[in-house]
Amino acid sequence: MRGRPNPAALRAAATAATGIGLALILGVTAGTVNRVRDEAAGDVGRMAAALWELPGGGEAAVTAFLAERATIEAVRTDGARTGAGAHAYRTGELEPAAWIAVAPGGQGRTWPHLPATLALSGLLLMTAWAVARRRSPPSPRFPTIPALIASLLLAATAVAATGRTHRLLADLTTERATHGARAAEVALAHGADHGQARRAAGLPPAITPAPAATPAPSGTPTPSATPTPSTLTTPSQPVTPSDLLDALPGYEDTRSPAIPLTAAAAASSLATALLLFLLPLSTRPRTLRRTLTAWSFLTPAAVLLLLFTFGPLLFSLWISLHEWHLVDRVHPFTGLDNYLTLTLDGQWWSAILNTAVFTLHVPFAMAVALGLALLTRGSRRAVRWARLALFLPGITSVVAIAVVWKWLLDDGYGLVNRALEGVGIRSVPWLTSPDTALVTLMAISVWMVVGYQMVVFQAGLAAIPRDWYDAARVDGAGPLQRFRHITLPGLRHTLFFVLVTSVIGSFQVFGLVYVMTEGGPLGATDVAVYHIYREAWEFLRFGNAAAMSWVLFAVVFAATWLHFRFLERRWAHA
Amino acid sequence: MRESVSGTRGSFGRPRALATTARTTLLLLACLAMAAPFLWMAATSLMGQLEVFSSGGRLLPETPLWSNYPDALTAQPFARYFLNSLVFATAVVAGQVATATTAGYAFARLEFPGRDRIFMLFLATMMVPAVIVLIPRFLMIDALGWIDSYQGLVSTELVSVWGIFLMRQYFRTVPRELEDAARVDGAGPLRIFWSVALPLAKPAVATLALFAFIDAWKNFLWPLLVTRSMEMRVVEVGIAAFHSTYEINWPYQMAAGVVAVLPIALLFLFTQRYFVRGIQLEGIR
Amino acid sequence: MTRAAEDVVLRGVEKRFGDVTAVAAVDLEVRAGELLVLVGPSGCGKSTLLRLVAGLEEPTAGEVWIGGRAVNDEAPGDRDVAMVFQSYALYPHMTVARNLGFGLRVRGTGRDEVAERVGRAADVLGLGDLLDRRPGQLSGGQQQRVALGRAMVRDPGVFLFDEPLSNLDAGLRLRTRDEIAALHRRLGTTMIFVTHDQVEALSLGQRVAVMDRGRIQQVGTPREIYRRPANLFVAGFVGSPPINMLPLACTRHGRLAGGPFVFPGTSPHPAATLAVRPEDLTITVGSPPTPAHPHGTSAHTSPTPAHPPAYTGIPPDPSVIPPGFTPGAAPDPSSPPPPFTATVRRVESLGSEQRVHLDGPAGAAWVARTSPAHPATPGDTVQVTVAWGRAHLFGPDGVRIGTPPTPTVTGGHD
Repeated sequence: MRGRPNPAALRAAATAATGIGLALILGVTAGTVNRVRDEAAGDVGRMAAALWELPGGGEAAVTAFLAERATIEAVRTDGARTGAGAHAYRTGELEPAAWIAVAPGGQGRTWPHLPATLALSGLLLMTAWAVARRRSPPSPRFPTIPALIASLLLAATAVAATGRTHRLLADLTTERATHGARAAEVALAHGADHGQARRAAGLPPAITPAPAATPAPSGTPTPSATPTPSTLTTPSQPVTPSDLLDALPGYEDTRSPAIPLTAAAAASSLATALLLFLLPLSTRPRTLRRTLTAWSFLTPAAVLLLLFTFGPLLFSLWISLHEWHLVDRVHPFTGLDNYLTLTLDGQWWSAILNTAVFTLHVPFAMAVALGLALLTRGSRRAVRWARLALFLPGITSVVAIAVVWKWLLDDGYGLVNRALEGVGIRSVPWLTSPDTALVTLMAISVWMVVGYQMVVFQAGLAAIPRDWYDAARVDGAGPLQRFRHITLPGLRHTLFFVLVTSVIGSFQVFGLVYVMTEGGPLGATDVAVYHIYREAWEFLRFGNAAAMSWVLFAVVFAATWLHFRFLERRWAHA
Repeated sequence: MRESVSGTRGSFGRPRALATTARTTLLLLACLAMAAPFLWMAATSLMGQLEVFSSGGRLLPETPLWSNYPDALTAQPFARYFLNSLVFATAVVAGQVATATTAGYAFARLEFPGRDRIFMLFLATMMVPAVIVLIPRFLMIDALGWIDSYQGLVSTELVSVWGIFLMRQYFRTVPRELEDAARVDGAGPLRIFWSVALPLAKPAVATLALFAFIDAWKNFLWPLLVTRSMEMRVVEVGIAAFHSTYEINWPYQMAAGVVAVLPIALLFLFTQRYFVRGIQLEGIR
Repeated sequence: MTRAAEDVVLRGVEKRFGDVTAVAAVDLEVRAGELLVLVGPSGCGKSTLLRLVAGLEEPTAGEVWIGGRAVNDEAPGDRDVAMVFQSYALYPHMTVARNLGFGLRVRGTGRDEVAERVGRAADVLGLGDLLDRRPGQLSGGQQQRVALGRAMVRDPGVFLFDEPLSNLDAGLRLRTRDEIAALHRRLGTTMIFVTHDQVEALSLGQRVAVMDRGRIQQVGTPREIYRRPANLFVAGFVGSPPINMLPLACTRHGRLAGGPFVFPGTSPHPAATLAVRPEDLTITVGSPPTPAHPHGTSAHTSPTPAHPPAYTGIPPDPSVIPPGFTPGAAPDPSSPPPPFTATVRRVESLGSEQRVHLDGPAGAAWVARTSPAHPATPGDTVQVTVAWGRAHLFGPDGVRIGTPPTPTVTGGHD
């Protein structure tokens, strides 16, 4: 049996690749934690060094500061006594990071236990599965199940590892604050002034009024630099842990491990899938070569889609589960809170409602487009000339069109109202009244899409055999009956296609609203995408915005599904 | 033969001629209604700033004020906007043609495990509203430090699933025997793609390029998000900004609008058939 | 300049598409320099077999050898074969010259040499004036020549033809067939030619391989295929009008019998099929002059045949009694065989010959190919004589047993 994928090798490869992926994730996690731990140790070391250098400081202060930590000798190979480390630091023998020995609990290195346990047990299961013999013949198709198991395991481990990293780093931040307060306390006790105490705690000595810790939402989505440290207003107050927490960026802030972790997970699942693909083929050189060739053709598109579509889809889901403010560096996980908030958000639902109402322009547009298609039927020259005029609104700059219409519909000086006044009709507040604004936008949208729809209908009409009409005419059917019994059934699929694509498109209307009404007046034209845009880029609440976009997706999906469920079936049997 | 022709002609009675006239009139009216905003845009672009508010409400400018164009186009760096739009659209066309032809060919003609499932997965992304990926894409581009740069503008737009679909459908119509002949002639997959399949798919490539260009030119939301400085704005964003700056100077705005619409209108005029082909390919599956 | 011809050997080659077996365990040897025609009904796997040789398909099992190399893992372009396709498969976007030179350019042949070889091939095929045209501007026959030229330019060890004549009209097809035969004589290259047309196969091939349902049924010279078909399928497939058949069964005495015929000897087979070529029947118009003799003895004065059999040049098969038959009371071989009586149903006059459709033995529809010099009319009762020495007997499994012994004719026509 040449060329059949070897099931044992396949499972072994899946297991191995998953193992590599897991090791990668755990490695990245551990690396992040340990790097920050070094940094934390360095910070404590700097505090000790500052105490050492105090006029009243020296070994006594350092010893007082480090009293609880007995293992300071551990760093020294020559078994010197407490304080030697500080001395060594001062004389340049030891890097600040070497104060690692004073790190809480004396743990030098850490290992992410929970994710590691998860990963190891998963790996064990996979190994068991790889070793176990299965009687059914191996399927030559894509090994979906192993790939799925591997990906799930990888994803779960990545999530667990990320969560654990976040917690560990938060702990380190808290501990540093405690140490800082203690360092300041020791410094004061050794006769330092307040400024010196602050420096010992790792705070800048200057007493300047600082801006608020959370920057006000600004119109420009500039990610601000490191938060500016707030300072104490009264010099006599002692340094408290909360001062340090407020004033210094948390260790979490240094770099979120989420991105490298996700990347590592994605890369390793990709590698797994690839391995699972290629391994069974390696027994057939030509098949292998062919597969590799095909993938080299597919790679540019696949990589770009992975990076900018599939990746972002997952990332967006991730964001929607967090309180994600653009300028903040901490994005606390909040589970489904964003979604729960949305359900009670009246403005959001009114935006959805507006979008749904806006979508009602589609049937009108289709009716007009079908009429135009029937009008131009049979005459090639008419079609060609009509096309430019009819098509232009659909393909040119939306913004330019929106501006023209805004001018045409201007309350006082717009051509439309002037014409109405000319024939003695009261002018209409097209865009400035909540009652009319949305309808006006719908009308403009009809104007924009009919040209495109007309061309699709023309194509659909051309595909209906002429013989059917001749036969109907011979049978004595009038024009209306021919339309009802031949044209409409013949256009069934075209109508359905136009309806579905137009509805999906109209759920995403943005440019018109942005230029013409900015969602107003009184939120009457606040449609979903515009609402999301404002939520994200004006209020910078990306978590909420991401949740909204998933709700919108659900709505679009439901609408499409309903179309397929009810319309296509009925039309198919019409 | 001749008889039947004259017979058909004879059946063209008066009512039919009337119907044709009515139809032509109706069509002309529809075209006029569709074109009116553009005509009004052109007319306003030549009026004086105050003339547009005059009580008479004229349809045509008293004397065409051509200076509106240079004045409006230099009030903001429109030349730069155009350059940016051109760079953006050209890069997107190049990217989409490259990715869609290769991937479309792989899906149409190359064999590999899971081909059809991967294709379905690709197609499924057409269902997803663009706004979902907007936020993560923005954060990614921001993290890369590509905000306000060409690479930030272009990188997310380089692949089009619709284009892949279009090319796949087209490549499937290329006779297989041609590729077999090339294989026997000793051509490898790349050579077959480049020398046989791609030249035969020129019409589809033209359609794809055209649509990619127009879509990129029309793209408003993404450039709005990733550009900040005036130097990086594309025409669409430029006009929106111009609109909010010169809110009541309608002649200037209309002049800018005319300049934005004109290139696309001209492009369409000369490439109609590719447009129509593309839409028809899309519409009838 | 011309490279040595290469042989092609298939060993146990099998090709399955999912559950469908297109080619089943084929062993075939094509000698170097030979023109072998693969013939069979549509869907018999002959084109797949050709594509396996070309490398356009990969065998599910078995090996393909070309010129002494196993080429299973070689790409089509590396196999030193050239192929002419049914649709010609000319690149529509290239001129004739570029079409001809494509295979050379792909291999990185120098510009001058490409031009020279293209020029030479164009001269041979008379394409000189067409070099700058595109395939769309050529007639079917011209396209066919370009396709041929494209294969020639490459100067391959093996030529493969996949029904290259089926898109041509009848006259052009005959001419092109002659040209291909001439080309083969000129180049002396190995050629494998696939066709569904048995006349084309017999007229063109040095050897012919008949395929059915993915298997090769018989390989041999056209004459062998025609005169000694290995089985019922080959007998029925080759020849036009098709061979006449009659099912035979064993009598109580162990003799094979069917219709008016009873064959002497004891048959080892429970059943068999008799097959006679239309030109091996001789017709005498008129009612039986004497009642048929029960044992076919010479009492009856057989009239001289109205005309000699069409293929008089072919000697009768030497084996008279197939192995396994125990000779019984054999009729006198020296006496002329007894005729049987049949009714003429329809007569086709084709000018050079006439085809007489008969209500044959046991009501089977038989056709006789006779000279038009002695016209028959529908409704005539005729005496039919079989040239038994050239008839065939096939066993119940369809495999040829041999030539039947001359039978006795009972009762003639009812």
